[in-house]
Amino acid sequence: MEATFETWSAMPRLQLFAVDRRRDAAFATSPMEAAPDFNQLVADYYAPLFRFAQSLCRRQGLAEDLVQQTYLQWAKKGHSLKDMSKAKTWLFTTLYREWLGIAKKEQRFEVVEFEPEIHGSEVEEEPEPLPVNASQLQAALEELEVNQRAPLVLFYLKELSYREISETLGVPIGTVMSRLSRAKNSLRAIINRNLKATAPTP
Amino acid sequence: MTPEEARLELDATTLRPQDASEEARALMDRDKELAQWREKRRNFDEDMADLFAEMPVPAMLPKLILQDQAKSVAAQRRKPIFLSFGLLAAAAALLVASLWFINDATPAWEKDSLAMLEKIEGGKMPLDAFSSDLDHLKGVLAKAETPVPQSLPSAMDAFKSLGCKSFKAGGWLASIVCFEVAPGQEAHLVVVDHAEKLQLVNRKVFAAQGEWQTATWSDGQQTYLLATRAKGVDLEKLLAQNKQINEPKAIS
Repeated sequence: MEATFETWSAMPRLQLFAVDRRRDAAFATSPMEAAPDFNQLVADYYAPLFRFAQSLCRRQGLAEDLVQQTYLQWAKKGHSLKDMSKAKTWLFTTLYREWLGIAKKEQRFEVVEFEPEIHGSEVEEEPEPLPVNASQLQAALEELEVNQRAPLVLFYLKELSYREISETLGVPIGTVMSRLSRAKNSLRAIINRNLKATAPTP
Repeated sequence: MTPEEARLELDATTLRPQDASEEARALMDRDKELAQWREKRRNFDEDMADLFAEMPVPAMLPKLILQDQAKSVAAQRRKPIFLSFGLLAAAAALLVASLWFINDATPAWEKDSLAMLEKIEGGKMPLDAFSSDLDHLKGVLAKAETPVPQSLPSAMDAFKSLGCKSFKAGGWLASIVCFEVAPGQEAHLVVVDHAEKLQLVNRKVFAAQGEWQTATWSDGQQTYLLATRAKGVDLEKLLAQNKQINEPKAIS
């Protein structure tokens, strides 16, 4: 079963995660110090948050709204976060929850996932795909099921560790790992199929 | 950790190798095939991540976010003002309710007494007699056949009487004896007979009524109202010197 908003809300908080302070300028302070500068948070994360939102909802306007709403939530409630080193994860988690809420209203979010380990099938590893461009990648990503697309996009954003991805999506770490593996294989397969379909016939 | 578990973990950390566990890395160091597989996966992931980073982001988005935040901060700053307005409104409503309650609950004899005191202090109503001799004033009141205070808080003995007046309060004959409790500061004792009909308790009840601080109590057959424009605490101090109203000092 896919984690729904309810199951995610009911999950216990996960443990603290390390922060790369050299890379994350907004968290150049120790975890328990004052909240990171809002402007810095925006500068550091608006782009990855937008890309994550865009990959989830596939609509630019809604993606912008999701990002704005996420930062608005931070402006209102961010100060109550006990460990400020988790602000980045908080932002991604909040955005994901916001989207889950919208998707639930629109009934766009599938609640049953095909799990190979449960359903007795494994995705074959695809051969190396030919080079693609950004729009071809985006088109391929959009063909992925959301439960594969979400962790894969977070993975490609390089902002979160797989543990933090697990926390953000509200799924166990092992599930994140297996979904990432299968998502990559699926992506290769989709890219290869699309390239073959568009390749000029000899 | 099984080789499959190591493979999954290494695959999940191609872009952030520092996140891989030592155990998984050790397995990769020992297994060349695993290392080659991981390198291939890493190359693919790096390419995809680079392409993904090219996905356009609306240039105006940061500005919109900061505008939202500014509005939110402004709204939060306005909240205390609204709250203050709310509190003021509530306080005003409470005050009106209190005034209504006072006006409604204050016995007629007290209202009449305070009205008379307003006139006396405002110079609109003269006293019947002026004397620093309390006994003389008592004689004046007795002659007018109006209530003569039978007992007083002992602290009142220390104060100089100023004068007295007879009047009607709530339909009852009543007397006022004025004292100077501090330079330029007066306190007025109103006495009404028929305490049993006024249903006051023996203990003193303090209240603020408009500009007046009052204390009322009954003692024997008489009911008393002590009123002053001094602070309430001063009135309490004045009467605290004679806490036991049931043990009044008899006036000869």
